[in-house]
Amino acid sequence: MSTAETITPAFFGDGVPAEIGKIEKELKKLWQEQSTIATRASRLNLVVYSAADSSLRANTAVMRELTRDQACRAILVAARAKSPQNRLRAWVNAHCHLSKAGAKQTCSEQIAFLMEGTNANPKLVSSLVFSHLDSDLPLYLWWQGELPTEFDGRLADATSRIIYDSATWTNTKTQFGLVKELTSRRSVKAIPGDLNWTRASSLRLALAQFFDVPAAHLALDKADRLDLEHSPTGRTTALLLLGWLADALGWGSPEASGTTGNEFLCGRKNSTPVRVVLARKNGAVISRVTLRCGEGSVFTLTRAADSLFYTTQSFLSGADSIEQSIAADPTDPGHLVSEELARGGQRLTYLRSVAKVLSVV
Amino acid sequence: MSDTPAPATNPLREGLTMRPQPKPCTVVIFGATGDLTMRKLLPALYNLAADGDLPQSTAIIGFARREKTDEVFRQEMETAVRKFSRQTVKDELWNSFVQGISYHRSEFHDDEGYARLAEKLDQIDAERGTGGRRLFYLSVAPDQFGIIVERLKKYNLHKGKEGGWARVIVEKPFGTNLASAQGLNEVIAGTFDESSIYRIDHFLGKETAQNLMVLRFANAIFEPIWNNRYIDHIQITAGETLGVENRAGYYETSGALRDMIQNHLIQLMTLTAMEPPTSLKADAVRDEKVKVLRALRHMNSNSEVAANVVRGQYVAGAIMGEEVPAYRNDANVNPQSMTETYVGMRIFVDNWRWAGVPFYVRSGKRLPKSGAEIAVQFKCAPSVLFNQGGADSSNMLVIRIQPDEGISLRMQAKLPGGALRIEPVKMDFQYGASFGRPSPEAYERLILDAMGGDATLFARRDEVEEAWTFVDPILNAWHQPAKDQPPLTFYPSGSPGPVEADNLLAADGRAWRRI
Repeated sequence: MSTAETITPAFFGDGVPAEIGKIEKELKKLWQEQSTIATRASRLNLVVYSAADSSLRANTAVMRELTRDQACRAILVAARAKSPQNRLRAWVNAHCHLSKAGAKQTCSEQIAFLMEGTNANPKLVSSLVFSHLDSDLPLYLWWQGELPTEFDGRLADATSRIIYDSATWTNTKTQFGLVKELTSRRSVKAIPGDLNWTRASSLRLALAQFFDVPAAHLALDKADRLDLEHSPTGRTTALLLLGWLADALGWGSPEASGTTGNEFLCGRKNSTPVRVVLARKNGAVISRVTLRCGEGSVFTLTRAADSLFYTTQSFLSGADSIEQSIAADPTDPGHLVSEELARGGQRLTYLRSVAKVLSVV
Repeated sequence: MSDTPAPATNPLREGLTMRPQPKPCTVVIFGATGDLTMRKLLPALYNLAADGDLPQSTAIIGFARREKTDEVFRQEMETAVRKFSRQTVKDELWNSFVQGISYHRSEFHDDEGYARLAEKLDQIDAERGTGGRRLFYLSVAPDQFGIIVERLKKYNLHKGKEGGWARVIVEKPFGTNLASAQGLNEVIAGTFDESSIYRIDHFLGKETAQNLMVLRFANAIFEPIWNNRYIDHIQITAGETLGVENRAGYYETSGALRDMIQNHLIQLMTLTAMEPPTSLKADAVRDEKVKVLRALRHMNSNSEVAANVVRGQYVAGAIMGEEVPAYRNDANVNPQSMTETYVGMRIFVDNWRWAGVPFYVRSGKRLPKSGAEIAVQFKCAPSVLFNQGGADSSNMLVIRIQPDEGISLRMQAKLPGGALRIEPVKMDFQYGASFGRPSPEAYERLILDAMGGDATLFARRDEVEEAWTFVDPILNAWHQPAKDQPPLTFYPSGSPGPVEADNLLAADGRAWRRI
């Protein structure tokens, strides 16, 4: 992320209340009332839906960071079904940042909706969203928490990317099933963007780099044990990582081994299965990955709690070890979503990885 | 690590990044204690590492004449990277990155130094798994190219080892005229295949220069009007407020034509004027660029040069409130110097698409503002309904290369109110506003491309030689006896250039864009 300074004029704050039918007018007023020269920028519509308490405030803070790198029109929708009142309220504000040169402010607009009581119906989200999109720009939908079993078809059809975090799901297998169902609809063009996959992007890159070296590459065929240490919330992250390795290396889908639920065997053609052991440990989401490949070849990646780096170390039979540090994946939501938005592709590797571990999630 | 026959592609790489990541190699920088290494090359390599784009085992060897240890060299590089890197240097990352850096002291002509280099490279291959892949970066004066590459050949370093490769990156100036460029090409071609030679032009590594092809060929609206039917003329500008600073020694033998026009601006011009390539492969793109160069209308006499090219030199003036001396009073400049610090010229591309469309190209030092851009001036709408007052109603598409990389389109709009008044307005796309992340430096992209074997953004031998073929007659005219030379004009520092350059366009009924 850039080091640009956030400019938050007093009237921006947490937003100016706006009548639902006059939101565009209120946004225009924001610009008219500005005393400094600012450029409105947007390259996408980012709709963020959450049913969690206090999500508007938290997501506004995320948008403030996110918009440093990703100019967008942010539309936050919070649903509070347990509220005693049935109402719909809105606020507008803008997140402004000084450009790198320090001379210009670039601002992203934000519209926040709070749906309360009977108005807190996910099916109403699309009616709010479609009235307030920045025309011609793609729509990215970040759905926080569990995906609804009946996803609004109109919203799904209009979405270019659906972003979610499989680490936050309680019924993971069902949720992955919903993603599969949703993204396989003929009318849906949305690409899945799992933040739980994004948070291990650099980690996968670091692991892959081990095997650019020809001798290490050859050792891959002898892989016989994989140990993954993950945080209490990182089990799905670890399983996705396993799915990725299994898919790329031609291993079979993991099958539970033993009674702990943390040990698996991945079959291989003409070879003994790879033993996989997951261990829960406080610290980084993935704090250690160890891949053993036959006699004496070990590839290890570690990340200490709060460290910004992965340390990789490889021991190949008959050779010195090499230890290196590389930048680790971000952990805060703003950086994570920014990373996700910066990525392209159809996510075919992700979908294959999910399929590989679906039986054990 | 022991080296083994190259296996198939790393299966874990699939789908990780949108671009193929190169395999680890050893980068040998000749002239490693020079300014370019400190300001650009090492910061670029560090930034690539910080972004996870540099293969982890990549090794860097600084090859230079001065006596120093690995440790001293590393410390110097750390200081330089901390000063010039676009990203803040993180200690943990640097400590990992620096493990791959070493220093190799040798004279460029010393055979023994190359013998030791060969041993060192083998050792690095064994220790770091760089697989016999070597990238030689010649950050040295052109007269050293031959000395270096001949010794690389003598010690068999011009070929990859055991399935690896050897490539050479050559910095400008690539020759001082056609003959010298051909000579350099011959020397390098005597050692490396053309496919392994990467002639760097850092303008081509800039985001907006790369975006030129995207703008033209990924948008359906531009290509149908990108021709002489709709375009009146094109202006390509690279100006800077600085004078020659501490480069007088080089600049006195170079001048603006060789320093900027022959390479950077003509490269931009080819990207602007070329036909759609059949693919994005390096040679497909470069084939089209060469066709543009071959279609340039040559100036075959002094009078043609005088009629189409204005050369100028800055005299004393003021820039941003500060008085600055004349070029001839700058340190290390000949007080009677005839070196041009400004060139403005009219170029025609004699092909079907561009017949009759002038390309006005200019570059100068000590201009009021620094910046590089391509401005496409479209023809005016018919003066039937709105443009009868003679006002300039033309649309202008400006592609800003630096600073504030972006694209703007000038169009006409009605002023609000009862009266029908039309004023130009500007639609402006700024990279920095829409994409907050800073673009990689040109050298980052180019070094990574060279590691990956992608030569698209590098100049091919025939491109370089064709560009010199076009420029040579101009240089020849300027080096005729004084009475036959097209005149050297003068312009005050801080002005937009010589009056004669304005007159060049005024004669065509046009004017330079305000910088």
